[in-house]
Amino acid sequence: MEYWFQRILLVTKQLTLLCLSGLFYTAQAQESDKIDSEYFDVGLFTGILNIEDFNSEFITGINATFNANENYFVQFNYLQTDASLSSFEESQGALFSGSDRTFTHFDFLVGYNLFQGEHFLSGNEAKLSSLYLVSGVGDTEFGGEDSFTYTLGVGYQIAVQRDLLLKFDFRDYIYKTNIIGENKSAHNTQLSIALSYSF
Amino acid sequence: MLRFSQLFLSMIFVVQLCGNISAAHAMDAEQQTSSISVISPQKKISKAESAKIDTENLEIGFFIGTLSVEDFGTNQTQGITAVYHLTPDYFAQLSLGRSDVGRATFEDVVEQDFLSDEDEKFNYTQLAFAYQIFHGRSFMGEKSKFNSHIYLVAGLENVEFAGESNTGFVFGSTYKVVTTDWLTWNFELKNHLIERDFLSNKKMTNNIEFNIGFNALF
Amino acid sequence: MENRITTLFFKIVGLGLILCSAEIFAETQEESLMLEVIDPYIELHTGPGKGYPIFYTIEQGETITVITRRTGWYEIRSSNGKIGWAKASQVARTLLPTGEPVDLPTVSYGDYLKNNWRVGFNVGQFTSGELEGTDVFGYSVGYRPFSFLGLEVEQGNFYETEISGSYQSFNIILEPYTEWVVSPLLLIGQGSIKIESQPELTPLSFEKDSFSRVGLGINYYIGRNFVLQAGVQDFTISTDNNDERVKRWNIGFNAFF
Repeated sequence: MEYWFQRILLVTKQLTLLCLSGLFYTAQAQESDKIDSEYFDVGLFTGILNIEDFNSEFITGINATFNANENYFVQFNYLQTDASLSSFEESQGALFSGSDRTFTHFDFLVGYNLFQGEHFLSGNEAKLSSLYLVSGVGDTEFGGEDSFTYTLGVGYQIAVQRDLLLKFDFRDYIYKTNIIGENKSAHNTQLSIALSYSF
Repeated sequence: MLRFSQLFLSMIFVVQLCGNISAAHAMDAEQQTSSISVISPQKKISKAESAKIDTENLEIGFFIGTLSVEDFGTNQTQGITAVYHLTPDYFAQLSLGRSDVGRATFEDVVEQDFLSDEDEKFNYTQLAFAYQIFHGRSFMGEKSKFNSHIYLVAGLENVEFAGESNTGFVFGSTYKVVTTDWLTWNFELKNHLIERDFLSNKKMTNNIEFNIGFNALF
Repeated sequence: MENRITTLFFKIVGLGLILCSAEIFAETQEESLMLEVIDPYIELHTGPGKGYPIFYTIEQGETITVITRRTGWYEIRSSNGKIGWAKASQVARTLLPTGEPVDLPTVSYGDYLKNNWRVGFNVGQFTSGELEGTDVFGYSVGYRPFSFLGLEVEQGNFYETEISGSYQSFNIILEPYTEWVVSPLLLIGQGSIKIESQPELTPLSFEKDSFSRVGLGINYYIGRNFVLQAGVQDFTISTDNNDERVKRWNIGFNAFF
């Protein structure tokens, strides 16, 4: 019951925000609105995640980025995957089952463009690119645990088309876990490719 | 947890520092130009060229990074590498890498050693081919301009780990920055695909590696 | 578990809708903006960054068309068809065909915070009371109706070996000196806190309760759209018996758009 109440509250909150944003943008009809802006990009990513002490899994996720200025950006990521049985579990039995085998992670990152560049596929058309470092915090749910997570990473992106970004990313999700062993810190690394639409 | 908070904080400071350094560079440059009094106009502007891989076609260097081994953990990895540029678009790369994987957590739990010390080391010998998908320039602040290349990499390797010697595949991508006419920086993302028989469970494993390499050009 | 995913889903969709609506409204007017250069010249870079080389300069009196904007940069087309990126500060010093100065955002903070949306996240730790040593991270969406006053909704999650939980809060932020690069702020908030997992031996004195909080902080503006924020806050959680007070520090990033 309470959850429903909370959910309704949340929806109301979102709708209010939506209306506000609509009002705001119609009210602000000035010169700058005639210009197409490129502040955000949203996209999908897929790749491989190595879960420490467990298997590697294919992952899919979504990301949303706000480019705060030419050097910095903030990014939200969400990903999910189901963990298969590790070699240890195959021989000794599963450590946990059901929804606990779903690995869910989200994080908020701040990124710094170490290199900005222009790259060519062929011909003379330069495509904007950058190599960036990211760090941030988030939440990881796995094996019945809900853990405070630090994320570190490196990646690079190229605008293959003006509004289409191709990203190659490496991420490390670091958190404390008690699934196996006592209070150890797990490093789960991820390689992924993302395609994002910039607007 | 406190250590991680500190780690996070220091990351923030490093990021901030990078920003400050580039800003400071820009300011230095401005101050310098204002203090120079021009006596005679320069008739010929010498064109500034960034360093690039032209006459050199061999790179030798080392790399350091992290390797995650399936069913085990994430550890430091390091090694040496040699790159031979076959054409401007292709190169062949030979890499020798090593990572000390250490005891698995489940070995601690069941208090039993599944692997000997030597078998806990992950050694690979790798021959890879790279195809350049993008070439261009990378800029760091206002003053630094480098030629850079993005490659897709695929190859074969021999991996010694967990008492087995296996043939594996490697797939990845490399971002190569030519910082001077004798040094390149390389950001390598790789996945080692290895079929492994461990605890009588035969399966294909994915092992993710990220490394930063510094190569000398010859 | 499922509820949390659903809530998160709603949050993502909500954020998406806000972004999309911004886009739709921004694109309704398709006529392009033409301006006259009043600076001695405008430099065209090959990309939106200081490092990108300058390949062309547009002289005073020429007409330019503005195509795209990014933070701090505008992509413009010269009258002879050259397309490149110019610094926003240069483009802001141009004239409309009517001879009026153009009203484009330039490179400053302060007044431009007015009517701005803000998204951000922060990380920190509770340092006193029953939640001592608990790590927290929060993320927020805010709107600033006045340059000195902001409103925000914040979701926070906190974790310790045995404790985990979350809070939602509505905050009012007073920031009187927004024109300063380093600017102090006062935060007043009201919300609800929920403990998802209690320590087994001695449960906390609260489970699902409301709280109020006050905080002091400092904003450091790294760019016009980007701010580093640090602060301390004092939470008063109303429990059945006595009010429980916990202190917290945090550091985070916010971006304005």
